[in-house]
Amino acid sequence: MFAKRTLPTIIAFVCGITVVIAYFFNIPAIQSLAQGILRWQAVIAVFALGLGAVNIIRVHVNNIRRSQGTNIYSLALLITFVITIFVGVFLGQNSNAYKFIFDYINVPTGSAIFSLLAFYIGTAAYRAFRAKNVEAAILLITGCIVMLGRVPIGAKILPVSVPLTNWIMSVLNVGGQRGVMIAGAIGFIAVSLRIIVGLERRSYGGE
Amino acid sequence: MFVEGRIFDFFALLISTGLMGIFMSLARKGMEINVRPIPGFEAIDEAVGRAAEMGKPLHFTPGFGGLVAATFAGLEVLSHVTKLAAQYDVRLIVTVSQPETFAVTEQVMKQAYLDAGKPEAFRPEDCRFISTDQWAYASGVIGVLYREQVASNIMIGQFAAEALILAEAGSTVGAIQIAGTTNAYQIPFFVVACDYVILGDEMFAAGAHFSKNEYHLGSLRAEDIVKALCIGFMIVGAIMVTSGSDALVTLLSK
Repeated sequence: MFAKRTLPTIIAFVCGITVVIAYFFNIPAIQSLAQGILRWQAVIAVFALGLGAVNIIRVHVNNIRRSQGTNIYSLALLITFVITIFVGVFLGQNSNAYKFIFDYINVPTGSAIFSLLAFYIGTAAYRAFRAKNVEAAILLITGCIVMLGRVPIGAKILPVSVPLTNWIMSVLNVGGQRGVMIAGAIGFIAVSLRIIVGLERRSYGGE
Repeated sequence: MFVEGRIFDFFALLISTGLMGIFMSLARKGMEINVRPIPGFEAIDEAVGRAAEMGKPLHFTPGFGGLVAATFAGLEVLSHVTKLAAQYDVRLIVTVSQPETFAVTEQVMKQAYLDAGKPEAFRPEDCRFISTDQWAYASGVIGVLYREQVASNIMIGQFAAEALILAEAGSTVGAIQIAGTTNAYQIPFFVVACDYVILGDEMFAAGAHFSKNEYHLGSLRAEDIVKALCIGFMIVGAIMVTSGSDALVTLLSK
């Protein structure tokens, strides 16, 4: 009970209060302590990464076992996983092999997934821009005005679209976004407070 | 003694914290606090029920964030979803992007299965750490959605540019989708691609909505009061700046 509930609460309280005090007050001792806590956060995350790696191996070994070796995706993942760790640990992160993996495999595959966004925005916009009700019709009209106002030819087709777009983006859009951000920030404070004082036991997997 | 420019912030935090403490205490003493129905939370039963009827898995992800407040709100929902999944014998697959979140998520799931009286139903391979890389995480989740042909997809937590990719993948497999994030830039994407959206700070009402926990209810009431104070400041500030006075601006920047 002490190790699972009381100790994490004490650690969360001490660390949380220290970091908060260091944010507001110029007390060198507290600020250096807060820096230490933030460094420890990175160290703990590295330990957790080990747990994540074990989970990846377990999930994909099970996949291969269940498919009797036909699951090539899991096999490819495990092989690249082992090669990357081997290259990183034994040849170093400045080695040509490591740079090759990063520049010619990691970056292009990441960019390929990112590029999917362009197509997904198209399909999502197609679904959103159907005037099924009043709200959807307002969205459709606003979307059309902003699209016209954002492209060079829009000013030629409908000159008023440019100032109207600027007004929509800087007044309506910013107003709505700030509302979400301010309310979100207040929610953040509430959750953080509950964690610091130990009222959010679920954060440690408690009941 | 104070760090420059943070005096007002400190007192604002002190007042917010004080209000939360007061209302938590009042809620504990029996003060009645009602939470308005939030369609996204109400739809969770429907999402789990659909997965049970179709005999397909249910997918949940708390997003790309580490252990931040939005992720904790997502984990609060996950706890409820896990209990429902255990109750209806639905397979729940959870994908996580950050290692520290993974450790906590696994613990939350184990505890929820235990609370539901089915600790043996927890399958460690269904709580999956994907990757700390944003696009690797996105492609991993897309893979899970397609391969497992999930009936329902719940995404509540911290999301960034991968939000639309995940939501569109879920829409393509025909899953009923419930999403929520505090990231104002990603909310529109969820609105167009998902069936139900929990908007911004509504996420933080999860604990109060599901468990009716008095601490959550009390802090929710205090949050509303702080929001009202912020609105008051904005109105007064707008009037003062319009009439040429920068007294409030100076006070806020102290």
